[in-house]
Amino acid sequence: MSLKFDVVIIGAGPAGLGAAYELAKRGFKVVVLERGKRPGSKNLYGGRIYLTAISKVSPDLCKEMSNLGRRVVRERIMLTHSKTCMSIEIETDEWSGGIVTSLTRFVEWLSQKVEEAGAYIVTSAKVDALHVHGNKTSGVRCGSDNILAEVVIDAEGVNRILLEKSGLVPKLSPGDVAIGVKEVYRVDPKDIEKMFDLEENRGMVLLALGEVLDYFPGGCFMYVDKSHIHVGAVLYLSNYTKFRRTFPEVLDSLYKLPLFRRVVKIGERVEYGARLLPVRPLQRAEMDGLVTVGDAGGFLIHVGPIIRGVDYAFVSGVCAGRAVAEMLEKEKRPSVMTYRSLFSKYVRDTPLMRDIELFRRVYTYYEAHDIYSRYVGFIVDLLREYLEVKNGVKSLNEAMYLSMRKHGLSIWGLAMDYLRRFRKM
Amino acid sequence: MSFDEKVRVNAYLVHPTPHIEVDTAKCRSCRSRPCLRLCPAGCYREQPSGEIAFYHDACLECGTCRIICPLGAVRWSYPEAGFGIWYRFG
Ligand SMILES: Cc1cc2nc3c(=O)[nH]c(=O)nc-3n(C[C@H](O)[C@H](O)[C@H](O)COP(=O)(O)OP(=O)(O)OC[C@H]3O[C@@H](n4cnc5c(N)ncnc54)[C@H](O)[C@@H]3O)c2cc1C
Ligand code: SF4
Ligand code: SF4
Repeated sequence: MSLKFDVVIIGAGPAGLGAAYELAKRGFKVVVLERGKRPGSKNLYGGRIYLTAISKVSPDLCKEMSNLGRRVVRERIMLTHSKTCMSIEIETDEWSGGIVTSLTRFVEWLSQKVEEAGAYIVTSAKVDALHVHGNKTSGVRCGSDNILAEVVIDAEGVNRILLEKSGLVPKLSPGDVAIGVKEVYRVDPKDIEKMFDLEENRGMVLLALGEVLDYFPGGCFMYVDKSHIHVGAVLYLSNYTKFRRTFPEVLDSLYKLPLFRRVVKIGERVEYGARLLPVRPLQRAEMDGLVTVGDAGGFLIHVGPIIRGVDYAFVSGVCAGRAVAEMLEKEKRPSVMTYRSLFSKYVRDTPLMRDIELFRRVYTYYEAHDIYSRYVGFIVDLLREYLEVKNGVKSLNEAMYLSMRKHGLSIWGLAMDYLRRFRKM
Repeated sequence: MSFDEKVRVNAYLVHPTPHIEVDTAKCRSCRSRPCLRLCPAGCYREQPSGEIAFYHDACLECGTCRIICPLGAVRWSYPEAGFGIWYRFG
């Protein structure tokens, strides 16, 4: 069967739905094809959505969005080394604009908004191929159906099977991605608030680096949601052959850390999941009639423990939706040149392009092994030398010297590293 | 905790036909066998004979095995529409 729409969108993730919302609102005939049985059933992430960029492009949706989870008021970074853990915590009454929520819940909610705006979301619909002829995309094949459209928006996520199959992007290499594995624990909200000393609707984020992940690039996390706690690990795959443990083993040792241990003790484990995420800027595929957004278009920033994917996916989707709408209103034939200039116009007011440019310049620093091993160890040992009086009281200077020697660092080396890398991070 | 215990709490709609095909003949010459450690669901198992066996039931559809297999032994696709892992708290 052959069907015709103005726009067909592949994937009902934050990116695809952002685009669908904008196009449907402007009266275009839009269909979103999602391979999952329900919207949200294939979506998984860590646990925090930054709302700052979203509030710039969609203030109306953002307001409701901010009630989907707990507001982040506290963040803790834990550096772990030789059975010791050093924490840096920041707490504020002023909300930073991030919420902890589940991506499944977020996507379910957003799908409702998109349907109310007038788009069709078809679930249990797996796109098998793009129709690409020369420099133009004219639609998709989905099972036995051919769906034609003026524009195809590819929001299939990081595993870009369709783009790869059409030869538009190279196959992902291990260095391009990290794997994230997470578990969800159900805990009574009252217990959460007592355990973490949080007020109602206030949440927190915990990130751990170093020994917890065998000093590999990446880290472990805990996101405190309304009645769930998301715990997991993100491992860069660049050096995967050297990683010796399995993920169940990684999690089991993570649960030896304070707080993590308590979550496991009082919570009921309800889910175990995994997904990839891009950690290098991915090549973007575009042509007449084809636009890519979200992870599929490389709109994600991952700098060490900080992952911003959902907000950029959504914002890239919204801007793409607006650009496609204007393009279709203006001219009959979609052209990639027109699209690019319109997209630039819409993203100009958002931090998206600037941040992604920045990411292009710094991502290599975060892949470096020594940040997670030598430097984490150095900082933890510095503090330990300073605070432990076992071998006599030491000045900060002495503690620093001892720790530097232990980790093979010198003042000169530190200064050079600062100039070469840390300054830019 | 074992792989099986980890995935026990998950919801799945398992399709009878595997969505991933592994050319286990190639695995014979694979020394490092990273899939054994890095598949988060333990879908790859080493048999007592040394052969690799693949079970698709617990797959989380992450795509890791597709990317790390050094010998190109993995023919990867998503499960049939509507099937596979069903995240409820993702
Ligand atoms: C472990 C981990 C932790 C993360 N933590 C955070 C975090 O805390 N904060 C944050 O902002 N970001 C985080 N991210 C990143 C974030 O999850 C992604 O950037 C974001 O989900 C990207 O959205 P998307 O819409 O581009 O793709 P996705 O969310 O992947 O959506 C793609 C959709 O397309 C569907 N699809 C794919 N192929 C087809 C097909 N052929 N036919 C039909 N449908 C198809 C999929 O089923 C899916 O629903 C994390 C990622 C991981 C892996
Ligand atoms: S990594 Fe590939 S070739 Fe090696 S054992 Fe696993 S599936 Fe087989
Ligand atoms: S896709 Fe992920 S969960 Fe499924 S078999 Fe491959 S590595 Fe394992």
